[in-house]
Amino acid sequence: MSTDSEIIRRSRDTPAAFAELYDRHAAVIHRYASRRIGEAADDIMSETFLIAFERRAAFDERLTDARPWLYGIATTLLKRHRRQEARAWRGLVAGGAAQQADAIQDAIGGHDDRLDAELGIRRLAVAIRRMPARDRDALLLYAWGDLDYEGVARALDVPVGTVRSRLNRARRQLRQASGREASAQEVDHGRDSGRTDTAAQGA
Amino acid sequence: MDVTQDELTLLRKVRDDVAEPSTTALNAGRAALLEAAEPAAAKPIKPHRALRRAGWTTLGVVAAGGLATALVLGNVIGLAGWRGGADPAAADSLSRAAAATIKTADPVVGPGQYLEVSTKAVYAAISQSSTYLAHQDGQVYIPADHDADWVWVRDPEIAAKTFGPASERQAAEEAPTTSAPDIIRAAQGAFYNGRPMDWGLRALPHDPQQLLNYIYRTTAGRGVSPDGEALGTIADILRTGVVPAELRAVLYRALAGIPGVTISDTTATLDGRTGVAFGRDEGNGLRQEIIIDPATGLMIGEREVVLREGVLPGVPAGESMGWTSVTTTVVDAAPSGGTLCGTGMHPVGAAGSGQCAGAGK
Repeated sequence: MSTDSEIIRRSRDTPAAFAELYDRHAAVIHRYASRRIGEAADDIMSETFLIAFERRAAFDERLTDARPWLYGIATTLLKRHRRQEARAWRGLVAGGAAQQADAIQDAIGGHDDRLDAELGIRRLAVAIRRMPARDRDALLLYAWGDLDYEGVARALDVPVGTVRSRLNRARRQLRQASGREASAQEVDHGRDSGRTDTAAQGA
Repeated sequence: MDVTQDELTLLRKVRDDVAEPSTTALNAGRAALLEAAEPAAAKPIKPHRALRRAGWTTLGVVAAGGLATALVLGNVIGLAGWRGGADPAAADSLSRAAAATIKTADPVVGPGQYLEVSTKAVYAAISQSSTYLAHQDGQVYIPADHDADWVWVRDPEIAAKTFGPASERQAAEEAPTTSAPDIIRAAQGAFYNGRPMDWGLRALPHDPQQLLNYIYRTTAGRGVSPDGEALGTIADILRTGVVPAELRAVLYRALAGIPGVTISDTTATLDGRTGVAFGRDEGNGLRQEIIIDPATGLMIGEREVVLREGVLPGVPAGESMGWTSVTTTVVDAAPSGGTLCGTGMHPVGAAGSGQCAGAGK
């Protein structure tokens, strides 16, 4: 099987060969966009590859995997959907958390775990919605794009050290939001206060 | 790995159930790509512009379940019209606002002038145990010649309101320290290579029920409820500040068709202006409202009201967790300077590609 860079090299002489890259990666780009903004993911998927095609001469052929590059283009395109994304996170804070928790209950366990998951998701959503866009991009590329630090760095066109600090900051915020930071410090009360919140929020 | 593993594990499961791209979407994307790869000589149009559909009005693939989805897929009937509508008093008041707004002339932008759409926005910054409200103003300058540079000025964010000591500490810790406004320019209003604010407005149905059905259809599966999402979408459209009088009237009449919409406040004041608030209780402790000046039928803004204590940490019932006010005026000049992509970003690729990348830090 050809590597991504071989396909891109071939597409310089035979432009239609680029479609092979599309067939290979369109679905993952769509999935990433869909998780962030919902239905407009169709447009993001299509435009990501059109822009990638126009800019294929700029692709670093030493890299075999084109995914970080494609994710980077998609992430830039997603900037114009900030309002939709904010709305999606807000939906998750407000009501979607319960639905999501139902959906993943089987993977986690019983009823108490489901409540934990619901509260956890709600808190994650609040933290992610509140996060600076650059930290959110790094976090979601890492968590949903399945990129490593190097891949996130390539996608965002920043040094790896920058990715590391953005991810550290993002994770710290998630940790704070989940109350886990508190539980580490106040071993006795952290978890309990988390449960109290569940009741209050579910009321 | 470390203590954060649990949060990441959970995050990886969130929205893990999104639908695969439809065959139609996959084929359309592939066709557009091949067209770009082997351009027909007679097609000078930029392919990714040709592919674009009507912005937030895009009729896309419906991912989620529920009544709305069933109706969309059936495509026989819409959600609007047969489930009742807004509370009679609200419907009556909206009908009068629609009549008033038709008579309120749209601002006329002369050659060389700009329409300034000024937005004041307040939103809640929420941590685990406290909340404060942050305030950010912005202005978009739309040139009479839409092909010329549009200018978007975003003022620095400031802490606007705190709720007790914990909230004050949070605001002091989190509030950004930037002081200069961020200025972005883009021909045709394509900020971040996006669509201009008025994109797709002309394509919207001008019959209230058709418009409402269109909104239900295009937002199916999103938000807390189809009706809440429809109200939010109408607020989003109005909030652009560029909706012509006639369409504004249609949007008000569409709003009157949404079940659960009531007059929630007859003297709602936003940013010094008072109007009637039309809201919908979403059952999650929040009520989204659209506030309209009954005399002119102009939208003053929108807000989200906290209905009970405990919805947001430290925020009492009755407080707004966020609001936006919008005003439009005609001005003779727009601010100069700024960048194509905003501070800390630079344009990538050919001029007009609109692609932006980080500054490397």
